[in-house]
Amino acid sequence: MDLNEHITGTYKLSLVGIPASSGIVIAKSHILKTEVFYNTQKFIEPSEIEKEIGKFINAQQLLIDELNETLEKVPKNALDLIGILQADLMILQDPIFSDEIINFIKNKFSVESAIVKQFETNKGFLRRSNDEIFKERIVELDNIEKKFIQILTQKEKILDIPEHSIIIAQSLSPSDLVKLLEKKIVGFILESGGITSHISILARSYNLPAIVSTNYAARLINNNENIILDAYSGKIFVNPDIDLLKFYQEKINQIRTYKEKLGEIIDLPAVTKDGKEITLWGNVNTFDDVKQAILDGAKGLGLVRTESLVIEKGRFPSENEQYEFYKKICETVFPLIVTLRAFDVGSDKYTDELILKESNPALGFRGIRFLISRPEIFKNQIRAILRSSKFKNVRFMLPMITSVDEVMKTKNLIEECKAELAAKGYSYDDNMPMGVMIETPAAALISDELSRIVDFFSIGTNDLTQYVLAADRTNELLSEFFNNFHPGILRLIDFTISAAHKNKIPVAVCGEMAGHPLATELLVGMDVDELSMAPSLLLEIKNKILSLDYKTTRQYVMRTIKSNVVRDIFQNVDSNSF
Amino acid sequence: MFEQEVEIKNRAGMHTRPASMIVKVAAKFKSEVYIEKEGINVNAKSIIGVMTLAASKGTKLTIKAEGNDEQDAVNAICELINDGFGEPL
Repeated sequence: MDLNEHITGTYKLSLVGIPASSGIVIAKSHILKTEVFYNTQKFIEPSEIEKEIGKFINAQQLLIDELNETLEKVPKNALDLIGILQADLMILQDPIFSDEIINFIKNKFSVESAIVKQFETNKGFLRRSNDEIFKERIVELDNIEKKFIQILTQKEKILDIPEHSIIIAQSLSPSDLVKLLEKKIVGFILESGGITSHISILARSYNLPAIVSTNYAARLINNNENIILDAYSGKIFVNPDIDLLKFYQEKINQIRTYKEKLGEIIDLPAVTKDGKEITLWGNVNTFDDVKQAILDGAKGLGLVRTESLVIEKGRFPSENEQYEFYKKICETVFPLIVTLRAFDVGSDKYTDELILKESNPALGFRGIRFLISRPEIFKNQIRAILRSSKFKNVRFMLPMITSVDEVMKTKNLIEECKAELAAKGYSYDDNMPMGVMIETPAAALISDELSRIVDFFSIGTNDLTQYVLAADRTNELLSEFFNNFHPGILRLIDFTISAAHKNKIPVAVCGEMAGHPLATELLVGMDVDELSMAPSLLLEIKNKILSLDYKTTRQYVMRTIKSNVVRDIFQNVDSNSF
Repeated sequence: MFEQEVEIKNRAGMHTRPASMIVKVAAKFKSEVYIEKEGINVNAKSIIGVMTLAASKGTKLTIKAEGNDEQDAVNAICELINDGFGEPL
C-alpha cells in the first residue's frame, strides 16, 4: 500500500493544517461564517440595565434549550459527545459565572461587552498555563462566547447547507457538529483548534476526516469549490486539476480495497479467547510508516527509530528539525501513544568523524554510551522530544542500556532540559514516561533494579539474542546459531517480565520476535503487555492472538521454558496446536 | 471553616470532565466550597472557575468549606481528587 507524499497534478491553492481525524475525502466546500463584529467597550444608560440583563437571561435560556435539544438527538452510546455537551451545559448554567456577567451589566456594560469581559478573564487564566491541554480549553470557552454573541446579534445559523459538503469554518462547537452531521457533511477544516480540542475528539469518534489549525482557511477558500481533504498528511487542495483528482481518487480506492481486504478484524481489539488483551503497536522509521500503522489498526507506536532522521540528513539534526518531525507524528496519531527512542547510532549505522571506526561495532561505542558522552547532541534531542510531549502522548525510550547509572545520568539531563525549556516558556509533559530497551544481557539481569526507576521496558529481541548467544546477527555463517527461540533467551525474557511486573511496569517486545507468529503464543504466555512490530505484520499477529487461549498458552510456555534443547522448543512451537 | 490540602494525581489534570465532577459533588452540599491554588480562590460550584484554575498533575490545592456540612464537603472533594477522577494516573 503506497501512502507516500509524492503527488501528481496541480491545484489552485494548497493549505496545510494539523490532521485531527484521519481519512481522505473529495467534496464541495461550504464556508460557515461564524465571525461576528461588535463593540467590546459599549456602555449603556442606567435606565437600560434591566432590559440588558433580560437580554442576557433570554440568550442564556435559548442556548440551554438548544443544547438540551441537541442532547436528545445524540445516540445514547456516544459517551464522548454526551460528556462534552453536558459540560457545555454546566458552563451555561454556572451560577457564579452568570452573576459576574450580570454584575458587569449593572456597572453599565452592554450585554455583549459584559460577556466578552467575563470570558476574557477566564481565558486569561488558561492562557497563562504551561499545560497545552489547558490552553486548548480556551477554544471551548471561545465557542460558547461566540454562541452568546451570535444569538444576541442574530447571526447566521446552520440551516441551508448542501448535503455531503466539506465544512470550512473559523471554529465549530460540538452542538454545531451534531447539526452538521444531520446534513451528512463528509469532513471539516477549521482555522482554530488543536488535536485535544473537543471538536477533534468528536471527529475521531465519528470517523469524520478533519483538519484543524489551518490558517486563514475560511478566508482563502470560497463556497462551492472542489476540495481534496487529505487528513493523513494534513494537506488540503482547492480546485485540483484532473490529474490530481485522479491521483486522489485512486488513493481513496486503494485505501478502500485495502480496508475491505483486511476485513472486520481491523476494528477488533487483540484479545485472547479467554479475555486477555495484548496491545499491538507499530514500529516506524518514517512518516509514511506512521500512516501505514494507523491504517493497519495499531493502538500506538511502540518504537519510533529516530536515528532514521540522522541517517537521512547525514548529520545530527537540530532541536527544531527534530521537533517538527516528532510533533508531526505525535499530532497525527493523537490520542495514541508514541514511543520515541533516543538515537541508536553506532559505527555500523552511522559513520561520521564523531564515531571512530570500530572493529566490532555491535559491542562498541553506541546507543546510550555515545549519547551520554555527547551531551550537546543528546540534550538537543531530549529538548525536542520534551517539546513534542506537550499533548501527553509521548514516551521516551533509551537504547543499549547496561546500568542503572546510565538511566540516572539521563534523568539528570532531562531535568536540565526541562529547566531550560521552562525558562523559554515552552510547554512539555512534566510526567513524560521514560523507559529502557532491554537488549543487553546486563540490562535483563538487573531488570529488578531498572524497573524501580523507569516507567516501562521494551525488549529488543534481535540484539538480546546476538549478545546472549554470542552470535553476530550479520554473519551468515552463524545464522543457525542465531535463534530467538533458544531456551536461554526465553528464560531471560521471562525473568525480565517477572521483575517488571513485580514493580508494576508494563513490558513490550519490539524486536523481530514480536512480529513472528510462531513466537506470539510464547510471548502471550510469558505475560507480555504489548507487542510492537512492522505495521504490515499487525493483522497476522492479531489473528493469532484471537485464536489463543491465555491459560492453556501459559501452561505450555512454562513447560517450554524448562526445555533445554533448542530443537525441542521448535517442535513444541510447531506441533503445539490450540 | 474546614480545609485540607490535596495534590492532583491524574495525568491529564483537572480539565473539563474532572471539573464537572467536582461541581456536581460540591453542589450536593449546603456549605460554601472554595478551591485555592497559589493564592487564587475559586468557587467549587462554578465549573468555569474550577476549569480555569488550570490545575495540572502535581498541583497542590487547598479545599475549603464553610457551613454545617463543611467537613463532609471537603472530604468528598478530596476523595475525588485523590482517586484521580477515575482517570489514568
